[in-house]
Amino acid sequence: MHELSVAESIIETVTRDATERGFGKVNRLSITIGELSMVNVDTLAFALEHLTKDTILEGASFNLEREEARGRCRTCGEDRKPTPPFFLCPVCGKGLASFSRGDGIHLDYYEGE
Amino acid sequence: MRVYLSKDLREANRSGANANREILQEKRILMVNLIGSPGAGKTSLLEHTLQNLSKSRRASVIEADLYTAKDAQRLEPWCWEVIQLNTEGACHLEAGMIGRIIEDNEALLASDIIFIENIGNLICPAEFDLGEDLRVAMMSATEGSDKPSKYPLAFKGSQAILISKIDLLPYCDFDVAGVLEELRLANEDATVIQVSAKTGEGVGQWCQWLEQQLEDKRKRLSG
Repeated sequence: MHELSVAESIIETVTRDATERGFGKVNRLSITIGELSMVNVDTLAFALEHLTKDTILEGASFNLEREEARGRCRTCGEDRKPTPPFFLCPVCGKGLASFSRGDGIHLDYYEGE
Repeated sequence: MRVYLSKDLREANRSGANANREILQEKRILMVNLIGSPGAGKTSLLEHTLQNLSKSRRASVIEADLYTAKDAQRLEPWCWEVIQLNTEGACHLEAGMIGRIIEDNEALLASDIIFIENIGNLICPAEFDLGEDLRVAMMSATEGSDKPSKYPLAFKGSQAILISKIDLLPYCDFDVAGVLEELRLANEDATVIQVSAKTGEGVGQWCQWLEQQLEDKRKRLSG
């Protein structure tokens, strides 16, 4: 259930930035959630909805996008979509050296007034 | 007005982890983050590990549980220093929690090795770098053979994988060969060690591996 700490971190980051810019209200938030981040979209939406009460984000709409994982194969060096469950290269069956996307959570933008 | 932030939310944790790494580097300490399910045998293995290492090394533990100080009390007799951390519900540790503990604890910073016994959970702890040198994932023979395929990220990001409670293998339907094959697929670089805290089997090999990792780190820092 680390969606709670992710939601807290989102609210803290947006509140700080919006306050610095002189906004009194945030109406919309857009977040990209990597499929490897172990964050469940519905749970995060639920946490955001509850934790934004009595903040400048109260009532904002949340656009939560899921991002597919991609990574570089350690053998062929190509950027591939890993095969579950062990994140293997679909072509040579070897493990991926590193993920190029889909393993993080990104705060893309917010709309404030 | 739309404001583009393009901010990676893991950044705060990552910078905390790097700050911890710097302190550990300066003090030439090896930090090990031990993750595993509740009941995998993490504390029992640490009891034996500390007894084995305490002859030659100052080994300390940051013991994380939701509640109680039971595990810290168990480990205290063999620790250079032991700190009990209660998260009161939180399912994982974050780098900042460890930073606050290590930054001004002189006894802890006089250790050779610091073990972090993470919250019993194979999901969330796999997502948070604490600034450790090594992450070690543990699974026990009593948990079933499907752990690597159900929780692949816990095993993928670890430098060592321990299969514990091997004294119970005769009583469990645990497919050792199948698990070793799956672990090789999940993480071909990890060192896999089979251990039993009950009989002591494999504990010597595990402690030798730790000693080697500590020496390697100090050599790198001196070189």
